[in-house]
Amino acid sequence: MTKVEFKDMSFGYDTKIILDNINLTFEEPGLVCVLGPNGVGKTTLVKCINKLLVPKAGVVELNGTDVHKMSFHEMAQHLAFVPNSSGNTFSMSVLETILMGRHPIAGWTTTDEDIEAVEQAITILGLGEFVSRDVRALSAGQVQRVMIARGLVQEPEVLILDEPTSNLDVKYQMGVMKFLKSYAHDRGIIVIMVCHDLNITAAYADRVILVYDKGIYADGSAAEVLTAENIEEVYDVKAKVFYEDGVPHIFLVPEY
Amino acid sequence: MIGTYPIEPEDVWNQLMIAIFGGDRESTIYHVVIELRMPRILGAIVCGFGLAICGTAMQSMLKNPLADPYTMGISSGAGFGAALAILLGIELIAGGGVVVNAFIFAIVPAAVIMFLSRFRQATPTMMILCGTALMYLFNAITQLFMLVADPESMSAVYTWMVGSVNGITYSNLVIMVVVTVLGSIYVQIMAGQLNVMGLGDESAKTMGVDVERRRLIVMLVVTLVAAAVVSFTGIIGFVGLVAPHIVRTILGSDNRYLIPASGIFGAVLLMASDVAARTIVAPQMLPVGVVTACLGGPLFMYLILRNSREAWT
Repeated sequence: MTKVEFKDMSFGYDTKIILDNINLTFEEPGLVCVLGPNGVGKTTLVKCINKLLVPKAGVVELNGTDVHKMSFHEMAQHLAFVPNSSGNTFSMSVLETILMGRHPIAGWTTTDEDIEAVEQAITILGLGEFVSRDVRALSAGQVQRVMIARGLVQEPEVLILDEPTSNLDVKYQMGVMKFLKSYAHDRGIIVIMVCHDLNITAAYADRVILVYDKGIYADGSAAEVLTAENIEEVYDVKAKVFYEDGVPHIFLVPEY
Repeated sequence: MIGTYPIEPEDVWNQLMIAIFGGDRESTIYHVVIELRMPRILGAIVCGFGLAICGTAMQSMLKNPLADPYTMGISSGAGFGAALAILLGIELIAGGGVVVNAFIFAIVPAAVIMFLSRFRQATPTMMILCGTALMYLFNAITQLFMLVADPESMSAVYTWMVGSVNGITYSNLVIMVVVTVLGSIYVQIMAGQLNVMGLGDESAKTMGVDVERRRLIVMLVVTLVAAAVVSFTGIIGFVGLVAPHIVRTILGSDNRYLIPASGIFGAVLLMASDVAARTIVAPQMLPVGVVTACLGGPLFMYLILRNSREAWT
């Protein structure tokens, strides 16, 4: 079973500490949502898992090995990352972009297995009508679906997503969250995503991590973490939380 | 064979057979075909191929459509080295002359970028800005030298600056071919990684590419190829910039196909330009770089206007 472990990890830029002495373990398959106000270090936290950022102190381990002692190629066999934009400079079709997700596991030529994985991801994310379109000509929401498809075809043990639903309409937000949760359980993988929507998180996350004040403010089920007190303390916003079948529904109280 | 001395294709074939299997190697036609035109044609092919491969790799790894051996300072470095030898008689290696000077200074921008990378992470933007800064610096100093040069030396430097495949010898060709072929093989092997690097550094790293290391190695390899080529031909611009773009509008951006196709297109473009340069105002010869721009420019403009949505944003 795959295990990601933060051990006394701290991260900062120059003298400014962003995350201080983080201890976290990801072991159970499922959907983990990382929440917190802007600039608190959510994306920083997940980027320390895949070596995109280097901790100032402590380590992040993947299956007992410090990720900074692993090569990028070795790491890509286990971890995939879904950014929230494509980054393409030159013209690349949706098909080509998704196919590139096979790079860490594929050989020089494209095999039937690669095509099958790509077709599956295209179907799952409803991208069939766009396959030959240039990614840069798609809407932001469509691009996010392409990026998720690219992450899926990498067939990782840990899938990390940076705000994958930020540009999606509510239907696709719910569709993507539902899919990621069932995908995590069906494949037995860990899906870690940074997000902002409290209600969507509450509805689908198996585990919620609330980042605040350079550390982990709360960690547990949605019902345990998304309480009115926690939301007010962390976001400085009054909230009322209602429960239905144990799932919290958050109503943010507007201030006039 | 087209040129100021018209030769029928059959005669060209006969001279090639003589060159391979033996025969009358003292004839004028043999001299024109084998000694004069063949190295020139082969030189144009290798030079066009090499510069186009360099441009393609640079544009992909730096994620910048304007990257090529010229904007990265390689050509200007070579020009500066050549000017040192021609105008001031300074040779970095005794007896090396213009070629060795040009080669060494062509590598300077890559060396500076690698040196800086030891202290700061070399981002694509930083690399291209360093190259461009060095390009201006080398050009400025070369022009300063030219201000105080005698007319004969200035003419020699100018001829070198506009580039020519005239005067390439078989021994030059051996070096050009070896470096270009080895460099092209390496770049082709890296085509998949260059594709992934085109998605951005973060995406590429999480897809298994050690981006900073790979970028520096590819940079070093393409610098050596470009340096080996321009040291013998002088500065031939435009091919490295335009060949990848023209091919990209036809084949797309997958480097596995784009790299060899750009190389072939660059070779054909430079060879055609050289033929035009030799014949348009015969018996005078035009600088091949001028003809390349005149041939490729309108084609490039046409493709930009036709494909602007698809290829560039």
